[in-house]
Parts: sequence; C-alpha cells; structure tokens
Amino acid sequence: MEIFVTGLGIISSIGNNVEECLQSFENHQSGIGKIKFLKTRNKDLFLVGEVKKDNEELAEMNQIVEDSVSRSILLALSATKEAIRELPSDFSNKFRVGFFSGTTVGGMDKTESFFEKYVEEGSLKNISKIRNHDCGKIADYVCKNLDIKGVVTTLSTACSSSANSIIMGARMIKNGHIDIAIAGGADALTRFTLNGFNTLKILDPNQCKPLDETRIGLNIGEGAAFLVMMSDKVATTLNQNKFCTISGYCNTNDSFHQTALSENGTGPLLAMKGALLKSGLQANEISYINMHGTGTRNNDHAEGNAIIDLFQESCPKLSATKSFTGHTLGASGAIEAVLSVLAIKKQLIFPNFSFSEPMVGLNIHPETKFQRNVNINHVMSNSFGFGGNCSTLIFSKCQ
Amino acid sequence: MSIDIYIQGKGIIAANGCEASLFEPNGLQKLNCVEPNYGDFFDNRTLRRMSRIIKLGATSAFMALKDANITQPDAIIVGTGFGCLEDTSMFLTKMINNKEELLNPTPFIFSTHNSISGILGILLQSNGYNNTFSHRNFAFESSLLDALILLYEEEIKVALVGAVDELTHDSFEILNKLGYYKGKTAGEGASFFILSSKKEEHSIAKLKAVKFYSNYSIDEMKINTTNFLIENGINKVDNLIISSNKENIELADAAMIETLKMQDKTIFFKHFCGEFPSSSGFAFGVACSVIKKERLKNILIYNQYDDGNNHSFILLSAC
Repeated sequence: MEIFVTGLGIISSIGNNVEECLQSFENHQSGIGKIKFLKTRNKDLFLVGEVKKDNEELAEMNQIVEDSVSRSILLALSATKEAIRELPSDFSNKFRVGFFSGTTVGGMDKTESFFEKYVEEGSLKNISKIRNHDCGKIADYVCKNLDIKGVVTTLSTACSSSANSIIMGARMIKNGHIDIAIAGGADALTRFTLNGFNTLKILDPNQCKPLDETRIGLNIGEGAAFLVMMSDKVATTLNQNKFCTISGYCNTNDSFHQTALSENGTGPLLAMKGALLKSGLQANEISYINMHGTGTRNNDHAEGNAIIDLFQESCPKLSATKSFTGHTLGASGAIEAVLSVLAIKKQLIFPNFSFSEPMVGLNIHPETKFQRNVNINHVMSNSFGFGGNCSTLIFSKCQ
Repeated sequence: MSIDIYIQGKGIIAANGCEASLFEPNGLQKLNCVEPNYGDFFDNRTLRRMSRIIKLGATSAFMALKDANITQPDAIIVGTGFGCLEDTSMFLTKMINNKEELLNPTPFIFSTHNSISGILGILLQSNGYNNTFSHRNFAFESSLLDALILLYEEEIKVALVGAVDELTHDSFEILNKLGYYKGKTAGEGASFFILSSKKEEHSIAKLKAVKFYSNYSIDEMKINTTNFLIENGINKVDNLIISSNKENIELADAAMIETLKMQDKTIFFKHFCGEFPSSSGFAFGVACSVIKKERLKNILIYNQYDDGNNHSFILLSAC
C-alpha cells in the first residue's frame, strides 16, 4: 500500500508557516541570530535559531490562555493546525486517526523556570508550571485542544524523534491500524539544551557551517512540524491533494557511543541502505538528500563517509538546511521531512546557507543556491541522534 | 495480521523484587524497587557508566533475554513515561546553582529519554531497530504496539520490548504536590519482555492485541470495548487487570468492570507496584504469571489516565 503525504505544517526560525519558510530559503535568509526571548545568562555567547514570536504572541495565535502551556506545545499547535487545515473538522470521528509526536525535552522551558525557586528556596509555589513537563503532554494537549480522537503517542529518540514518529505513522496506516496519521514533532529552545550542548563543546558561537571543513559546531534551533499521511483511498474520499508518497524508511542503531557517531557512519549507512531497500529504488535514483548535517565535526564527517560509501561516484545533490533553521532537535526530522516533501511538490532544491570549503578527503559538495524547476523525483532525509539512533526517510513523486 | 505473536520471556524489577507477584508491600508512602545484584549482570566498568534508571532498565532487559534464552534481539523498544528524572534534576540543579557555568556533561548526556535503549544497543552490539516511546501512561503500550507491528510486518523475528520509570527525591516532591499520587502510593519499576512469532516450549502466552483510544469518554468506551472483543474473536474475558487501587476504584475502571461484568474476576495491581506512568508493564508481567498459573484462556489489561479520557487494551491469550 502506498502512503501519501497530503498536509504540511511548520514553524521555525525562518517562518511561521510553509510559505514563510519557503520565502526565507528563496531570499537566502538564515533564521540564526542573537537570542531574543530565551532567558539565559549565555544570551550573548551563542547564536540560535529562535522562532520569531514570544510565548504571549504564540499563545494568542493559538487562542491559549493558560500560563502553564509550554512553548513546545504552542509550537506544536501552530504546526498541527496548518497541517490539518484541508481536513474536514470532524475527520477524527469519521476515520481512525493516529497522532505521533516527537520531542526531546517536552515542556522543559516551563520546568526550568519552576526549578529556579525549587532549587534556591525549596519552593513548590509555581508547581503548575511543571504540569506540562513530560514529553507526552505535547501530543495530549494538542489533540485535546483540536478535538482529535484516536491513537495518540510520543516518541523520544533524541534528534531523530520526529523522523521516527513519521515512520510509526506510515507503518500504522500500512498495517491497517489507522486511516490517517498526523506525525511530526516539536522542541522549544531551552536553557537546558543550550547549556547541555555547550558542555559537549559542540556549539558554534557564530552562524554554523554544516558540511564545511572549517565547521566547529551547531546552532540550536526550535520549532515544530507535522505531516498528514493517508492511503490513496482515504485521500480520494476526503478529496485531498497528494503531494508525494513516503516510499522508504528505516530505523537503525549505530551501537557505538552515547553521543557520537562511529567514524564510518555504520548506523547512518544502514539506515540509508534500509530505506532504499524498502522503497525499491537504486541509489542513483535519489535526486536530493536533505542531510542531518548538524555542523559538528563528528556528525558531518560520519554522515559524509556513509553517503560516499553508499553513493560512490554518483552522489546526488545535497544540503544541510540546519544552516538556516538551526538544529531543532526533536523537531528536526519533521521540519526536514516537510522540506523534503516541498522539494518534490514544488520541484526545488534547498541550499546550504554557508559553505566555502569542502571537508578534507570527502567528495561532499552541498548546493549553495536555492533552485526552482529542478527535476526532483525522490528525496532522502536523514536524522540521527544521541543513543546511536539513526533514521532515514525517502519521499517520492506521485506516479 | 494472521500470525500469532508469543511472549517468550520476562524480566521484572519491582517493589516485590524480581517477580510481578501480588504480595502486598504495606504501609509505605513510596514503593522503591528491590534491586537485584547488578554485578550478576554487568561488570563494574559498565556499571559505573550507568545511572540508576539505566541499571533498572538494562538489568530487567537482560533478565528477559536470559529467560527467553535469546542473545541477540532484532529490535529494542523501550517506553518511559517520565524518562531519566535523576539526571534531568541533577543537570537542572547544577545549571541553576552554577548560574549556567562550568557544568558537567554526564547528567545531560544521560538525561535523554532514549539513553536506556541506546545503552542496550551498545551492550547488545545491535545495529537493528531501536526506538523509545515517552507517552505518559501509554509509554509501555506504545512500545508493545510498535513491537507487535514489526513482528506482523515480518521485519524482525525477535523483539526486546519493555518500560522503565524511576522514583526520585525531586519527582516525589513535585508529583505529590501536583496530586499525581492522590489515593495511591508512589512507585517505580522496570519490566521487559521478549516477543517473537515462533511458538516455543517455554512460550508464556500469546499477545493478541494492543489498542489505544485517546480522547474518548467513558461512555464511548462501552462501544469501543464491545468492538474490540468482536475484532479479536473473544466472547468472554477470563480475567481483567485494571489500573486502580482496590480501595480506590476510579470511575473509568468501575465502568469497564461493569461493561465486561468482571466484578469477581478483576485484578487490581497498582498497590503492588505503586503509581508510575509505565506501570502497565508491571501489569503485563502479572498477566504473564496469572495466565499460565491459572490456565486461563485470556486476560485483558485495561489502562486509562486523565480521568478516563485516554484508554488502552492489551489482550493476552493462552498458547
């Protein structure tokens, strides 16, 4: 059974919806910049990919009044609403629906604010702030708010979380458990992750340079993205436009280190190979790869090695869009899946924001210009994370 | 979905030790796990790199592997409702006390929810499917469903699947204040299982179905329950396991007992393991013990949270 993508929703540092994000790419406008909203002492030390709205604006956009609602929930709400806007309002009463959310730190932004007084004074006064801490709260809140019934769950495999939520959604449709999947993820910028990645010394204080020999690290970003998927039959019944199919996917483990990929990129190679096998495609049929490409020494080298290993001399066009959005952690798999779908739907290629010097010994040359009217049939999207989690998705043009 | 899925082994760490037994630990405010001797499973060098929740999860997983006589599962799937709370608290506390300076990366590294499945991937040298679900009280059910589908798809032959949650000083303080333990004892635990599609002599039971229903009212669940039984070709449930305390039966649970007419055949399990999000893993362990010992045809586990807004079924039947 073929699974079709029929809806997209996104919010990131380069735009609050699909159109705005596309426009930023077209204008070659990176979303990486100085911290404006996150309350951190390290405000001036790092550049980040911050969504250009504060919590009050996001809450207003989504008609939310409770103060305890985390930024991740607000971001997820925005992206989900955009993704499902072409569906009839009662879709989850008429069809079996699944909602799959990926996140790494859930409602951590509110938790760290609660923890200040808790740590300093042992005070439990602001307890309601921590009510939405756990990862599952995002999906539960969004579904309750938008009146979505069905199978609701949350995946948390670090930076591949939302790639895995998309895989789970596709598989559940394929196996007849559900008719419609809404899958993606959300992560807000937090002090916890900013300081956490800083302890690992993998943050670039300036605009990151993924896939470049001079790269020194990543910029943390934030955002959310969700995709709507369904079978041909359901798409016809609901009169939905089919943007592309999800033709391949694979989840593997690098089984090497908790926070670093193996030199050769064993896990990434297996994930790409597995996804190709599932799609029935040959490596040379891939038109474009949206790489995981974080900008760290380790990731880009390992991923590059695995790509060269798989594609040999005929490396497809590729880029790392984290150079525009920042690394949105649990949301990145879904954000890049949305971009991959757009590459097919609109026949375009996304560039690297900043690239000058190829990595030594690796024949990896990312695209540096936004290109329209390109023949894009199959797009591969990679997402890797802590814990050795590696996932690859392949999207294909409708036949 | 014509193939049968069998439960081949289990590994439990709970307040009662390493059995999902129904001995009542009495009068305590917190039910901490009675931990096994970890040295029986891992060498000291490995143990030094493990946080407590990772020790609980990894050891319970190794117990399940040993029980099923499996050395290399094709998939590793872990559920955790709250994730690695001790390391999360530790990093947050240091971050605040040190004013975001001079922080140690270790608690951050092990704060990620997938560190348990990640460590299992390394320990078992497994490059295969590896997933982590962190969806509140359905973290275990989600993992089980994922494993079930992988086996139906014949993508894998053997799955290691389970769930773990830890009770920490901070989590107790905070959850208690939030009313999470109202009428319940705080708990924690780890429970892992081996699933495969091949019937073995030691197979415990068949896993027939896992299904959840979010945002359905208690009333709507009546129809869902009837349909669920029909879908699975069941006329009558032999035993029902529900997530309430015996002394404090929640509305949704009472309604389910009523719908299935199981007044005399209901097992209440929460007071044996305490309240924690993935405690349905413990219930699954109880079901495995009971179905074999009492020679039942089937057992239904009904779990719900958010005052009967989210519901799940796990159906086991005899081999």
